[in-house]
Amino acid sequence: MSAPLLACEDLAHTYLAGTPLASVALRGVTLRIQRGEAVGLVGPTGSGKSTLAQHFAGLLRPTSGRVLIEGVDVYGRGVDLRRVRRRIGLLFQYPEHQLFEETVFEDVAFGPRNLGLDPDEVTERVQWALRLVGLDPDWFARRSPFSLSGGEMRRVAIAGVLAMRPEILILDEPTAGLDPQGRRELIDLVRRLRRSQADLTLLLISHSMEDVARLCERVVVLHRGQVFLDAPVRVAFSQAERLREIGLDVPRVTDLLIRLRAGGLSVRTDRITVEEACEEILRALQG
Amino acid sequence: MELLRTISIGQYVPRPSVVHRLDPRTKLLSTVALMVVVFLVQDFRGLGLFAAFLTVAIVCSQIPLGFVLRSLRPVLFLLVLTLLLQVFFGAPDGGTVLFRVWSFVATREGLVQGLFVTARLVLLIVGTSLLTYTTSPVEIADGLERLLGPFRRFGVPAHELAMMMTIALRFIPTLVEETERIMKAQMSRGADFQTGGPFRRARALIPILVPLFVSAFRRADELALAMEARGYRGGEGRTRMKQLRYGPHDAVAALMITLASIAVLLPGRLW
Amino acid sequence: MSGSASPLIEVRDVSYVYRRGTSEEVRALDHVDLRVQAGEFVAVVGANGSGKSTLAKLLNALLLPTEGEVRVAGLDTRDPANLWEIRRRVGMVFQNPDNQIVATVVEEDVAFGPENLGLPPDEIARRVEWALGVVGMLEHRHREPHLLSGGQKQRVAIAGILAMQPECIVLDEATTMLDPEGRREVLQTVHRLRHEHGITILHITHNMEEAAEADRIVVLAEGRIALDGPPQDVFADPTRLRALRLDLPELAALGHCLVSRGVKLPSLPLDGEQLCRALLQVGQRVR
Repeated sequence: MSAPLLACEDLAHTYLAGTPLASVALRGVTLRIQRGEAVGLVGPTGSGKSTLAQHFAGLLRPTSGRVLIEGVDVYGRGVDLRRVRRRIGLLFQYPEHQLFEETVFEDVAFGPRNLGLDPDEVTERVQWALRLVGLDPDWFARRSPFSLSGGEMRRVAIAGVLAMRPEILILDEPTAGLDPQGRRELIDLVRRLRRSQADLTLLLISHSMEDVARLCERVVVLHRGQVFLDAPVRVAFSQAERLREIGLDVPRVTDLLIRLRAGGLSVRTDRITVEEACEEILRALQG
Repeated sequence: MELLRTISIGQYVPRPSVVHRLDPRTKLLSTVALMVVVFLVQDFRGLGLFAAFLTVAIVCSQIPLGFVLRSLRPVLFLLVLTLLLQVFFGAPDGGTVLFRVWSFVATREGLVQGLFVTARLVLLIVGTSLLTYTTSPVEIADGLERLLGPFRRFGVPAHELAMMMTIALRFIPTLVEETERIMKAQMSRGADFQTGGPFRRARALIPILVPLFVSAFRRADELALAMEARGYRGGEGRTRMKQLRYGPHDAVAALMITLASIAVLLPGRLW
Repeated sequence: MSGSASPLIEVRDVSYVYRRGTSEEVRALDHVDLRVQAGEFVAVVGANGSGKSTLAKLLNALLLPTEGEVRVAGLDTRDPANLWEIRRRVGMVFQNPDNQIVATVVEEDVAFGPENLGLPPDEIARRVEWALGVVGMLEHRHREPHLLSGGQKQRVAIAGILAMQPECIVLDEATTMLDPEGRREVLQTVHRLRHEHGITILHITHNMEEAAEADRIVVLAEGRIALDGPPQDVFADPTRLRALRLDLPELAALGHCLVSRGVKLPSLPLDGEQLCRALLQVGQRVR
């Protein structure tokens, strides 16, 4: 097996270490993520998900342990951290709050320009990214980002990150605050992305089990700064009791299947979407 | 960067001391009195007495002396500069020469004057630091509001000023957190705040300042709406849950400060 | 709830137009009629831009109708003399937990409302203590707000409203920015307010799972009321809801799927218990 694209070894992080206000965010996390994987990162608030994401993006320095990109320690000798950061795109929560340029074009171009690309390539990337998020460049490019609706602003912010063509995309609660339609559109966007870029590696931080179920193959559960569970999505979600212990929930349909099984109906409990659960229940009722 | 997040507003150090428990108005008025007295003192004897009284106050406040003296660190340069200026230029009519440096003449009168002025500054700074160490910013805002209250009829917007102060104080940690978030978001898009000369670095702040300002205006809008929804209509007819009450400690403190001021200002001959 | 009792809130043929007379005129609400009786728990749902936030602000006179009238306990919102009484009776909790906390200490923020009412200090202190107790934040009374979680901040905001002794509380997307734990805290508090204190609740949201907990759901779309009834009725037509840019709660969606494939369910299930029991019964009948 080739070296994992993204990995951390015994990663620990304490905020304000050495002061009376120190708080431990990560207590020794070891993870390996292969190129092309879509991994969900879940956990109760305060479990360290955002901290971990920021470490992967090169924005925080570990208190101890290592962060590795393709086997190379990110803080090792001779490693240019800025070049590392370029390979990773991190979309923060409520990304529309980081827009600042006078036009949509300029804002989306910010990232590519910082990469040192020449103007033609920048333009190309901006147009590509805007189309990818469903915004027509001819209509939107010259408008002020602040004149757009909330949903449109979020898409501009996403385009800004995509335009850098990161190898690894980390999304921190991308559906936070969106209405059901907005959520559907965002999930579709991520799916489109993965289809158009086959080796895109995705790390999805989310409180929504349903979102993780729809987009990821593997899920890592964090609890109090440590890895609580690291398994394929179906396996992880069928362990409802363990997840509930730490205050997490499973998709409602999975919970129902677990109850049905307990009630005597022989259903599999590793179904995570409405459609799958429907099929499974029908099968059990007819069989 | 993380340290910013936890900056306790102001330099307030909570302690269960008598000084802390004084009504903020007492402390504010005392600080004003202190400033007046410091500038009226004529001689070293007065300054010495003043320093003694101030030391007693510091001890009563349970703030470590070293901590209070540290408040002088930011102005150390200014103090030394003041001293040097006085030493070399403090006696324009000539005086007993102590030594020469290049074409600058150090006089004894200048030295004495320099020490006096510097000592005055030190006492002033330490005295006002004592106020901020023993009184939380909210208390200071409340105290100011009550003190300025009677001046409302002259157009002083006491309530509005206090409200502005409280809201500003409330949002400082929130805004600091937000700045940190925005910085990280822009850094992950390749923004660089470290390299380049002063102009380049100033320009690099735009991706932080614009979102911050936009967000601040939005907060102001939303907060105003929330305040209105909770019946806010300015200071008219408003009551306060927290009542500032003068207690026996305040009377004692006021008396002691008055006596100390008199003692400090009395000319040396009466002793 | 007798329909003949005079409603607590009456919205009569109300329209609201933003930026009237300009080229950017927007009709956010279009001839809306709504009656809410005292003690009801109503969820108002709609996609972003459907007009639900505008409707919320009309209820406590933060906005005045362009056409039509809004009455709270019989008081017309357009009459300036009624303004403060209306705002005492109808309290509002807003979406952003941070942007409604005014004071530097929790208990002082809860006191803000009563202070505006000009109540005597002892009375204010009493109400503050009681309100914090009801929302379960009494032990945090001396804390600084920025150290609280989102759910805690919203509970403080609710306490601040409670201290004014309202008859109705409007939650204007108050759970949208919270994590699942925070949402549960707020909803539990809200249910308690309703059952133990008889306070009328209007919950503006686009989260259908939360809407399912209400007695009645009002669906807004493009400024008009599209549906108004108990959850059972509102969730009966999934296609309609999708067209309105909304969703069904997961289990209701599952119920529909099963019914469409021939499974006989007595009613549209809204919670796991119900659905589980119904399916187990069906399972036994088949055997």
